[in-house]
Amino acid sequence: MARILLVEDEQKIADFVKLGLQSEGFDVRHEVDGNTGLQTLMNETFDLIILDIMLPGKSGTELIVSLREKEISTPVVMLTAKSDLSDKLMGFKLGANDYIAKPFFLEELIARCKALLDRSNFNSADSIIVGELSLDRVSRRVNWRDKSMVLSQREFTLLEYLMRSPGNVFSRQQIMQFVWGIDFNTQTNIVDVCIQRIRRKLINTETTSINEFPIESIRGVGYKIKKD
Amino acid sequence: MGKSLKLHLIVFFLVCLCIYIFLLRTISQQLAFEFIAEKVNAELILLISDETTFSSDVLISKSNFFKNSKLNSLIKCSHNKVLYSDDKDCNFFKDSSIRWKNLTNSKQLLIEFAAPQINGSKWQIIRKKTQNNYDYLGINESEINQILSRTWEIRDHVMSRIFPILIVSLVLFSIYISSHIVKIIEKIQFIVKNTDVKNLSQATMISSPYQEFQPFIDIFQDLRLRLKASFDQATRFSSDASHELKTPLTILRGYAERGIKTAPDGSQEQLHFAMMSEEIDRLINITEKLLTLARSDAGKLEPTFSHLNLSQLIETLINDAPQLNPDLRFSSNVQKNLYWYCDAQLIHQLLYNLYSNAVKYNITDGWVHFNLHSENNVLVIEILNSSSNLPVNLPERAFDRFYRAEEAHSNIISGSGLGLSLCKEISKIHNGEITLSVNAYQHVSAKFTAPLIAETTTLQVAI
Repeated sequence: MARILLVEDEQKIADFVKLGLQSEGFDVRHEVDGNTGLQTLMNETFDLIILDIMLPGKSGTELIVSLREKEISTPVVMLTAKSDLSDKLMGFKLGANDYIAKPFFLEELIARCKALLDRSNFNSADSIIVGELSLDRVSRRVNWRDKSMVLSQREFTLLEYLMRSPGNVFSRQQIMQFVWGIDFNTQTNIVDVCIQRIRRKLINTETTSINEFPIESIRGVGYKIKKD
Repeated sequence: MGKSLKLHLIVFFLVCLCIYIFLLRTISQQLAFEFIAEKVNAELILLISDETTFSSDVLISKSNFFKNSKLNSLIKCSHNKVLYSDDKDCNFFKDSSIRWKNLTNSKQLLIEFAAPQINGSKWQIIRKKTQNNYDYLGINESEINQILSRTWEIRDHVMSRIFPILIVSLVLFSIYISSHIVKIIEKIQFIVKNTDVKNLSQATMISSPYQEFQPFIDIFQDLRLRLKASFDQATRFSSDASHELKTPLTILRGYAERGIKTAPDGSQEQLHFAMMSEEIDRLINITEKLLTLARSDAGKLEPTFSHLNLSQLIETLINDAPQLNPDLRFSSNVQKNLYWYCDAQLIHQLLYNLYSNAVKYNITDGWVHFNLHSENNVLVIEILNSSSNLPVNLPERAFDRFYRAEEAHSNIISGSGLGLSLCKEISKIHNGEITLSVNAYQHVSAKFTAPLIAETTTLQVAI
């Protein structure tokens, strides 16, 4: 079980991040300011640090600097209200491994944490497997039961996005923003159309029913990949 | 165009010249009169009168003639060109055929004038009644004309000598004054031009040798300070508001997301959380736009430049477009592999904002056309679309913040009215220009142009 240190001064944000991470099976420790955060890091080992930039005491960036000076190379995900790319670059220069701008999707944060943990364990997989569904990241080939198809770029990105956190419900808007980079309301059913295409590619309608396929649509909300 | 200072100086110069010439002429005329007076060996002061004239240039005033206290001594004088009553040779003045014209109305004082022909030459005579006789003063006109013409020669000679000196000195003076003023104006212009967000706080002292400029400089300095104060406020707002707004939005989004996740699938609660989440997304979207605008206003929107394959970006959008909006027709004319050194994130936003307007304000069975090309190192992105019922003032007002076409206000079309004003700011950062035009067929063209080779090293957000 991976241990994560969350340094965030806003209690309510910390609460839901903690809840979300815990429900994914992480062991989360929370500190409210930079100084105690550093103290904790000196005394205990963590697999990952989630760090807010604006912190009382020692700021997030200062904390990273002292951390790297002490040659602690624990991966760091930075949280910040500043969505400027210049801050992002500064964060990376200082030694942060990833960056997520507020207001973020919790699911997005969890996915990034998982990716970083995978990377630091050197077991970053070329394929993702959820139940009977497997997706090859290199060839964009998807397998489900006896069917095997190559997906288009958009289809692949969508499926990969859903498969990153099985059981999690994604809204259409959220999917559209991630897959198509569109943050405006187009009154479009592009997400539904794309999911239809993926389903059609993989379901043999003669032998299997649509309900058996792991992509589940939730009325009025969005889509999710069924957990095993 | 305002009035040119140079033109004013030229006019000023010409007026000065006229005054100088007039004064010079008058002075030299006075000199000439004195010359005559000397020539006639008399201290006659010849002044302006409307009564008697020798010629157009020489005038004898009746009043001055009489008032002259030296008249008596003058009468005693004798000269071959001026004859007086005392002179025995001047008896011909008393010729009865001479017609005298009275110059005065007074009975005690009688002064008369006549211009007779005597011995073949023309004379001008003035006589004054004394107790029992007359005092005469006569001048031979041809003699006097000779003297006069010589006088005018001298005058013109003097004038012609002085004239070039006068012109040169005037020109030099004008150049000196104008260049001095222009230099100060240029200096002020330079400082004003180079005032931007970054050096607003530096107190630039402009000194002027002329006190007339001081109020102007003071006003400018005052404006600078006020601008600085308002800039500081805007800057503070852009960073404080960012933090203050994003924290609650993060919390809202987090709990809405958690709500969707924990509520039973398909339940009413989940549906409510999804609706909340959708509205939170909308709120975040508007907030992000407002904050970007605020940062831009405060000069804090610092772009991160990289080489972007614009052709690819637009092609991706064109490929997605028929799925995004299946009821519209799409066409394009895109130059291949057009790279541009720009802020990829901002240009992506600009392009998608323009696209979203083109599809939102379209008609049933309408169309959208994309253009991308470069000519003479100028990049052109154009998105054209069919539309209807557009307000006449749309091209001017479309870039105003929160401006939305009328039908959009009735919530048929979603949006915040911030997209195009944001596009304008993004365009400014890239030294570009963005325009909207509508033709007679209600076809809308949103056109973005920018230099392909941007001067990125000196790129600043000007005030």
